Amino acid sequence: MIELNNTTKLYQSVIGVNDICLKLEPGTYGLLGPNGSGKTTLINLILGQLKPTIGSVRLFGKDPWRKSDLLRRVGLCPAVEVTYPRVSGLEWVTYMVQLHGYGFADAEKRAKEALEIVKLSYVMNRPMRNYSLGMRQRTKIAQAIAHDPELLILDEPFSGLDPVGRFEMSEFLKGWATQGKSLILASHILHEVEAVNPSFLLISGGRLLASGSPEEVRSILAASPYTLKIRCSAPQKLASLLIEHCNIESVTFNQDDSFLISTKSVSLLYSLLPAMLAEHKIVVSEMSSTDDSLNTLFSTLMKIHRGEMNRGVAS
Amino acid sequence: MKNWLNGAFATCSFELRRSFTFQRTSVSLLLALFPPVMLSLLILGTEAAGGAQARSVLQDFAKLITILLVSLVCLLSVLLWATPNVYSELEGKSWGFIASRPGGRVALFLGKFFASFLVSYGISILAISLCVVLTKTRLGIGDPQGLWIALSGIYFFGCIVYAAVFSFIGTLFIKRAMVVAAGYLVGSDIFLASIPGALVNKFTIRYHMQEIGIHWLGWFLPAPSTEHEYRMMFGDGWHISLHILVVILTTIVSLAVGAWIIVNREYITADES
Repeated sequence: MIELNNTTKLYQSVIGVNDICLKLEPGTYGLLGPNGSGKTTLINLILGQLKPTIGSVRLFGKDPWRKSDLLRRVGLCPAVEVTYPRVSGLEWVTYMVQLHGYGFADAEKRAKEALEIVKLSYVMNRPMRNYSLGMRQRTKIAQAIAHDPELLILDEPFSGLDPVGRFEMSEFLKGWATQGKSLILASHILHEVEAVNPSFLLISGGRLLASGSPEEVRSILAASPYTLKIRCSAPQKLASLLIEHCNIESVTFNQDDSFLISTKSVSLLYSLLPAMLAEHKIVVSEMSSTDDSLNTLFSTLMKIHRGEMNRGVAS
Repeated sequence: MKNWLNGAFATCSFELRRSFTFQRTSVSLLLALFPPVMLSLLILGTEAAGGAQARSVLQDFAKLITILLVSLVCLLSVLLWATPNVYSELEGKSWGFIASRPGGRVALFLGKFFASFLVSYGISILAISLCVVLTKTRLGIGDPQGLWIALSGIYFFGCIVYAAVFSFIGTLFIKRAMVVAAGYLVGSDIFLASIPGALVNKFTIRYHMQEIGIHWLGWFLPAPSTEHEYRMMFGDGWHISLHILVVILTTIVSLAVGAWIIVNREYITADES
């Protein structure tokens, strides 16, 4: 479906993506990377909006820069906001479908169906300035799916959504994947992408650091030190118990009855902790992770990349 | 081909519908009313002065004043509508949605060109109509229908060729397209077109529009002898069909080159830069 051969994109002296080799068969993919890592550039290269400085890109076997007809088979939901405050959702989506070559009547019919799918029929005739962020996000999805594409590409689709909106978006994306259609979901938040259970493409600094199944990504995370902050009635006692049983890498005590503990066996820690607390009558008032899972993942991947750690996943 | 042509009409229709707001309609109306209001003020001023001679001079120059005033608002309207064709989409972040459609870039370019032509021509027609009514009712200038038809034809070609040229400039220069287009107007159509006896003025749009105007309106300055002086300086015009052909070719070439640029150029959005 998508093939990138040693693809590099330079914005004058700034590297957008760096020497990426990638072959994607139809399926569901999560494109993960921190902000500014090159996700949007990679998407634009795949869609032929940018021309690779070095290397080549193939979409459905053809060069997307030369063959804009390929875009008929793709739906894109960019990360940017829709900025037509006075236009209704229906008008805008209809216009977007018309640009795929449909006549007005056909386009309007498809737009209505797409807005129905994203549950926006009841507000489709209202100006978009009256839409909430979640509604605008769903309108963007509607314009991407209205022409029934084979491949749907979503750039940060969860951005700005409330928990209900996130859940609905996840459900929609799971539904899309089960229809046998392809999906590329770009995000910088791991657990949002995990919900759709895709294969992962991990990108940072314009480089594709790794690709793999969810299990492989979890194995990287499992191999990474995980830091917890625990506040309890007996910090020294609890810390010594954890050191004894949980493969602890480091402990740092704070002055406020809390301590930071770093471990590679966080699952073991979670399974043993309740029994320890009960047995020694220790009261925990606060327990939180200081790690952002994606930061941990990328920090580990960078270490693998620099040869400071053993490779845990296929890359 | 069918796809981008459909898309162009869809873009034009969408642009016109979304522009039908109080603010934009008011600006368009103000532009359309500027020539008749200025002409009215001139007429009122002349009447207040009370001189029959002043009124006679105004009658002699009425066509020229109408042409200058309508040209001003027509060019301003085209400048405002056609030039920011790419920049407004990049700035408004809607570029990604449109460019990811097959033929979306060309559809956007042509659709915005059509919209800028329709709006500018609409403004020009309204301004012409009001000015013709004024010249007939207040100055007693004869054959208002003939004058209206001739001016409508001249501004049809004027709007279409300038909309095409400014649309082309909009694809080439992104952030300062309006400044470049205004500079082009001053440099080419005011400066170069006014150089007497030079071949270069035949490469300006104004020269050809001026010749079409003279063919259709007749010599519109009061003293017939000035036409002889004009011909001495700028030479004899060609057959009108050749002037129209040059205008049409300029339009087609500007649109073709603009479409080629918009398809083959990488436009970097704010997010990527």
